[in-house]
Amino acid sequence: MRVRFDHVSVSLGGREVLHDVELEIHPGRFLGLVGPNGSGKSTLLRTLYRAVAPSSGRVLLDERDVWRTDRRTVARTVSVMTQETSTEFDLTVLDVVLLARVPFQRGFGRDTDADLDLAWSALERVGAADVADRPVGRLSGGQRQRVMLARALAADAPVLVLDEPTNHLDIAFQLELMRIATDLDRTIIAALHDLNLAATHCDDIAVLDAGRLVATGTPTEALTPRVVEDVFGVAVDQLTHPRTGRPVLVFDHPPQTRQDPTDRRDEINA
Amino acid sequence: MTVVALGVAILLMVVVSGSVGTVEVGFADAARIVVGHLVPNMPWMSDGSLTVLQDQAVWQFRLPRALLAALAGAGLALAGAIMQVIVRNPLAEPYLLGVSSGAGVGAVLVITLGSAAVGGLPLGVAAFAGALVASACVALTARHRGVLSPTRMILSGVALGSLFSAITSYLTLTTEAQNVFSVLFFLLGSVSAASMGSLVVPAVAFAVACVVVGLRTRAMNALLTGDESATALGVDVNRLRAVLLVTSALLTGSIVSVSGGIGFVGLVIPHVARILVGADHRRMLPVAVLGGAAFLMLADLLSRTVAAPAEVPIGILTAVVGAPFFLWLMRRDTATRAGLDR
Repeated sequence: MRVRFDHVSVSLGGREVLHDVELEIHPGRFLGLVGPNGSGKSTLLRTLYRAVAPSSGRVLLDERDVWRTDRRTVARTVSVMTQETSTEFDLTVLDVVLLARVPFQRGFGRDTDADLDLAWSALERVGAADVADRPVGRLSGGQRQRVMLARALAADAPVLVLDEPTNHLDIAFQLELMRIATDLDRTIIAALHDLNLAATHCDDIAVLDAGRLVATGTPTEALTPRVVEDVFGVAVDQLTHPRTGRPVLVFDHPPQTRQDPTDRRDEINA
Repeated sequence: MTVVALGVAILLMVVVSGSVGTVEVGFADAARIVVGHLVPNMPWMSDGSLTVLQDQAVWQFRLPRALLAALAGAGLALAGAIMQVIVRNPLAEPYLLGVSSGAGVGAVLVITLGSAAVGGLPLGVAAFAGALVASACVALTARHRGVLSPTRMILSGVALGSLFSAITSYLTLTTEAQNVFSVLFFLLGSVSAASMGSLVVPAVAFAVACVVVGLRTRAMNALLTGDESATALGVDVNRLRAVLLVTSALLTGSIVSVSGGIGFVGLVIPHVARILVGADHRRMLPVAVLGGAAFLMLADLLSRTVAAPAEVPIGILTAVVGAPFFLWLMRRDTATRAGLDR
């Protein structure tokens, strides 16, 4: 399914947090959304799963306007791995993953075998099947992220939204998560902080800066040292990965605050 | 399993309630009187084996209060579970929105100044009106840009609750001494004045609440994981909160206006249910509802018997019986299931 942000602007509390974002994700592509903290990544995603209404513009799933569609229909089409979960009252891991099926069910009844199958296969896919009957609140941050990913997968929806999915994750599961995502035959849009992780796994990259889209394209096209230096305010060198030949970004302090390594050594000696 | 056990316990307690009291009625006779009134043409109702006094004692006094205890317990447990989801806070209870303090003002106005002071409303209606006015005040002050924020609901509930309690205290202190007993009796809660007629309104409210909540158990589960996450699952969070809030206020108000501010049940029974069967509302709500009913029936039985012929207010017994039980349950390992180890 194709996702298109059609000139989307969002104002929150009188402040414009997104300005005229025009962005299209083709069916089956994996788009990485990058940008500094507060650049509007999460807000853009939230317009897609109906948590924040655009003040102007449209969000389209194929030709259908998300904000003119019944919210259950949208929830069946777009599954989301949200950033935070509350654990005041503990549901078990399996219960939480089964919540993915909420938009497909009605009433008081039990979960169907099909629902359970989807939940279990999602849990196995993220390697969390062994903790299925544990309360979510007792899991480590990383395990909890696995469960949230499993929930997003169990919805079996054509569009997958990942909002900073690699938070709290060790490097091995960061890579595993990106592998799981790239293996899926779904349209994926993910807000990511790690530029190299985005560059190596995403088909396309979109760069947001202060609510405006400043670059889009393949990783090589969008994540040029120039763009990254401008947007993130850091110095960037692009190296070539010795084994894969892919570009790797290496960061340093911006020029005006950068210290020569030899100076620093002098300070330490003194 | 738990549900069946609680159902059996409730039926047994109907019979025991029917037989306990100054007029002597055996367990079998109590059961026969209850069945005889429900099923027409039972032989024992007309063969002279039961006295009129026995029949009256069971059908007109003991059964209504047992049923009111069951209804109030079930309703308060349900309302407590609802409130805990709405504000996503384990300390929430049915009276969080000032329902009991508002009802208190209404009832105490009638007791101290007479019902003419509130436009001729009888005590129950005045209490119900007070409960709804209080809930509406809390909901309105907690609304911000059309959104009900849980934190603001808790804080405005506490603030307005104190205000209403202050009014009640002032009215109580300045009234004649003989009224003070009635005021305390209402504030602590009691099911002793129950009649079959007084059950109707809370019963209807409870039935409606069961349907409203029953259709939304999955959405309530989703809400447990957070507003954002529930929204992503297609739940209209703001609307769900509003619907549940109105349901809880009407249910609690209708119960409080008949039985006064019986405490403890609404706070603790939902937690007991979570410890027993987990937090999923599809499993937890039936246990909470039946458990609340059984618990308050038991408390009522004790309130009639421990100091007989005098009566201990049921609100005191719920805490005296319930607190140690709950603390024991909380310290067991299974309590970690309900998130009580943090």
